Amino acid sequence: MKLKKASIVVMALALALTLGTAAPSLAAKDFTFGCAVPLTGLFGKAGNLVKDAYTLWMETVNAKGGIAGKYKVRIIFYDDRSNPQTSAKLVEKLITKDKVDFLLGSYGSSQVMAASAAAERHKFPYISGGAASNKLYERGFKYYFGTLGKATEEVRGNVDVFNAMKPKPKTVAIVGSNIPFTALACVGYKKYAEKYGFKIVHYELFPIKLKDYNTMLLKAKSKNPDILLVGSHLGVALRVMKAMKEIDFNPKAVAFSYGPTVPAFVEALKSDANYVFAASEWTPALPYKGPVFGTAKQFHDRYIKRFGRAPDYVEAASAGGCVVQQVAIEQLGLKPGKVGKAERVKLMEKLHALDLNTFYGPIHFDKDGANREHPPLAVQVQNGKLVTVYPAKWAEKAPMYPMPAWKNR
Amino acid sequence: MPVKRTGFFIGLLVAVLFALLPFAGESYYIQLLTVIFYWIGLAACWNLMCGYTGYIDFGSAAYTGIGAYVAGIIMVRSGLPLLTTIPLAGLGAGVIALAVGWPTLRLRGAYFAIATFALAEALMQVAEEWTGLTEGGIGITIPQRLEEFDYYWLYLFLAALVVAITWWVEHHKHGYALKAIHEDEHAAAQVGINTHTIKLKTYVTSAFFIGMLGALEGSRLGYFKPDDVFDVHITIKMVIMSLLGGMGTVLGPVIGATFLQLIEDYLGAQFLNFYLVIIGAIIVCVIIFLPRGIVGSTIERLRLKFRRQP
Amino acid sequence: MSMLIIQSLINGILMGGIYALYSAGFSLIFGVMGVVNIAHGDLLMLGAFITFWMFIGLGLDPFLTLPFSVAGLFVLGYLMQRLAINRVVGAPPIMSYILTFGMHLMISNLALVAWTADPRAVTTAYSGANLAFLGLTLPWIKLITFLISLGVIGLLYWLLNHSQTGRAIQATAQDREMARLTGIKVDRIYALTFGLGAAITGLAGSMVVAFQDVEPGMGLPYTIIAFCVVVLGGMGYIPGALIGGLILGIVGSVSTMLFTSGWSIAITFFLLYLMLLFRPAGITGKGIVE
Repeated sequence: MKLKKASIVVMALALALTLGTAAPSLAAKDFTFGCAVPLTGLFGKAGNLVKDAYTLWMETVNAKGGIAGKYKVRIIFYDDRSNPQTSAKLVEKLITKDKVDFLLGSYGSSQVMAASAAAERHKFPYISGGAASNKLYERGFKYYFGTLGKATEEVRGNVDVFNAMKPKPKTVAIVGSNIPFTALACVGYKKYAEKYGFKIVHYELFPIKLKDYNTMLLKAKSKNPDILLVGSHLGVALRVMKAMKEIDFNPKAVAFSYGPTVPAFVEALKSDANYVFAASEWTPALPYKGPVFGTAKQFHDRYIKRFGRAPDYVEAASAGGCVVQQVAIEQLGLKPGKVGKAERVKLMEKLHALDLNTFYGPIHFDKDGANREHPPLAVQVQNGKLVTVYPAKWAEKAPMYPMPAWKNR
Repeated sequence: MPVKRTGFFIGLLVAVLFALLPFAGESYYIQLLTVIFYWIGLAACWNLMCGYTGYIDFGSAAYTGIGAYVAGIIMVRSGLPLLTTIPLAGLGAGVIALAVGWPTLRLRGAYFAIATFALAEALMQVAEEWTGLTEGGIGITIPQRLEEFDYYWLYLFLAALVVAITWWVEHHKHGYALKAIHEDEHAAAQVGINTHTIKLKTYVTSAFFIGMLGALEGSRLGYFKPDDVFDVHITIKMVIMSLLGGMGTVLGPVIGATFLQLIEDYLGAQFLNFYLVIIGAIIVCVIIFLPRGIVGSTIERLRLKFRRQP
Repeated sequence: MSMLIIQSLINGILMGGIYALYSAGFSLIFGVMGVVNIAHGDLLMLGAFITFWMFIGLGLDPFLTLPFSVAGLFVLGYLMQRLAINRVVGAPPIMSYILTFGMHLMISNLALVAWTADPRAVTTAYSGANLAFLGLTLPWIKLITFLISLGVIGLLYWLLNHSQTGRAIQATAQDREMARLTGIKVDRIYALTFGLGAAITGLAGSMVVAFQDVEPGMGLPYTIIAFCVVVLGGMGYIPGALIGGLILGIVGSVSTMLFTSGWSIAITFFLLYLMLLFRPAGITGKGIVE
């Protein structure tokens, strides 16, 4: 009897779920944006950063009355669980069921590959500020845009900063996790290290699920490199730091492609995070300025006020993508309720044509959808704070180099 | 027998009706159904082998991975049309399944589960390291893609085919043999059933279809890397769908896959932060209150009802 | 070169001890009630977070938080068994896989909502400090974890064989009906066992957070390693966890040194597969074979 009741409840629930999926009615005075980001799974952390960046943009725009001063912005968020199949499905859902006017891009190369392919089929411009795989731009897509640099170029600051050192270090070891962005970061490291005449004494890609980093790094340690260059996400960066201390690995410097710019890095490692370098595309110290957010510094301050933490370059690049789409919409004079296929084709053409200065720096998309290269930057953790150390003209402080041995810290 | 036939024809009719649906125009439901059919296909393959024999395969994602890579690599290297690579992907998965199944199917229970899992993980790692063949962790871009509706029809066709095979197995002596293996493998062997051959045949068939589905999905995504197509979550989903619907029943995976995809789709839109918690709670409730799955428990209840009334 | 091999062997042994520590509870629960607990890694995560929050909030040293994570996880494990898992004891193992997978989804996603996806780490004054001699380095925390692991497994083994409750647990594991007839409260023993298994796992979590970053979604890979370790050492045979853990740790570390870290994972899993083919009762031959 109990069994029967319970099963009726389950069945009824299932029925209610299938019948209850009516599309929400939208006020025609608003623009609806759709966004499927990873909120859980491997990229759950980073996806949430992107979601925050979009939320801040929405709130900032709406506080000024909306797009063109009168059309409020609404964003529908979905969780793609860091899974490309789900990401593509959710973008289809946003377009065909929720009937959003525009899309916002996701984080993570795999998901963005799948999601942008769905967007391309429906002729929806798709701007991502959180994916950098070079493969994104090799598909001949017209509707895909990326505000970040290509993964191989993005890490250039990490090599440039050491090339400018006097005396110049001689040898580098390169390690990185074997997923698209970080593996390509290693390709980029290799390219620039060879170009500047560094000797590469060790090169290894390791699986993302590797548990024990000690032995993997021991091999790099045994080659005694001056510099350790790491292709990393936040979690990988943390594990590399912990393992380096445990095995007493003391190169003159260590640099990460991504991780240290996220505030959680310094929070977790405390003073052990000092001396670490990271490549960046953007810092609040840059003299960038543009519509919506004002200067880079103003964006940074507003972000801290809203979320209690500093934004990193992925968040800036994501918000930058919103700004460029907003400006394109405003310049075309698009109106809510009147955005159809023809309007979005125009929007795509407009995005390709725009040459815009923003708080995130210049945004000008090439034919393949890649943003014009930003100058390579390097930041460093000094006394628990991130400071820009390269290039010299924007540097807030001189780089602290070499890093003292672990036992002398 | 006539009752069984009626059931078969009703199923066929439903499949044909679904096949006509795209002519009503494009909508999100076509997309949703495409994904549902894909999962019905996978869950039905898993159920065909594991639901009937009780062998829990935790490495089925190996065959979606092999399928996706076989088709992908052939397309990239030789430019063969997509549709011809799909059966080749199925064959590739089938051949590997034959080589793997022959020794592995002698194991039982948790040992079989972990052996298959370990092999799938090892194969994923090989795909990641063998960069000359697979392009490794950077991923492979698939140069060809079918139209949206083609995926809908192909998944519907494959799902219907696997379900039909399950139906045939259920009513054929092959099926009785599988169930006998589930009940008591030694006894089955003693009454003259060649248990190993029957298990192997079923395992290879199931891998063949999983390989084709994996290959199609790889081309639908357009780009993938080893941990996308060898993902252990693919296997977990196949298992859960079969079990929610009812293991060892023809309709179990159909109901289970549809149910799980629909609640995921609905709850994901309604409760952005809590939907996975709710799905977890639903799974727990089903196991506690409907231990034979939705279909299995319903059949059981109907049986009890009929038995009570003389 | 030979120094590097010795160092990688040491790394492997230390890692193996840690694997063993977080697999022992899994083995106990499987051995006694035949339940494969997919939420195992999530219990580990909860233990880690108890330590993390006590360290952040109260400034307690990770080692001082051990009693709290042990007690907290014992209560949680006891309740989980009583309220849900007891229903699938004796059912085909697949039922317990799925039931506990549902629990995994619930625990990890509730934790995600509560604590966000930020990776966290406990950094103390002695984090990363190591004992260096003859050119070899042994990180203190891992060394202590390894010793605790030996102690816990030894204690558990002793408890099962020499205490009254332990003998009742053993009797229940061997024959549930017979145990019931001799007056053992079987349901209570099951709940107690699950609580005990969860408590050890919580302890392991508290140790893990001292040297590795943790986040709410970390559980499943740990479950998978525990499953492998336990199968390798023999399902349900507690000292087997130590043997299985050491094999996985050493093979992983030494093959990373000799080849690459990528191939080391492939080699480890192939080896696991081959061992299962040839020794299905685990390397010790003392595991349960169905």
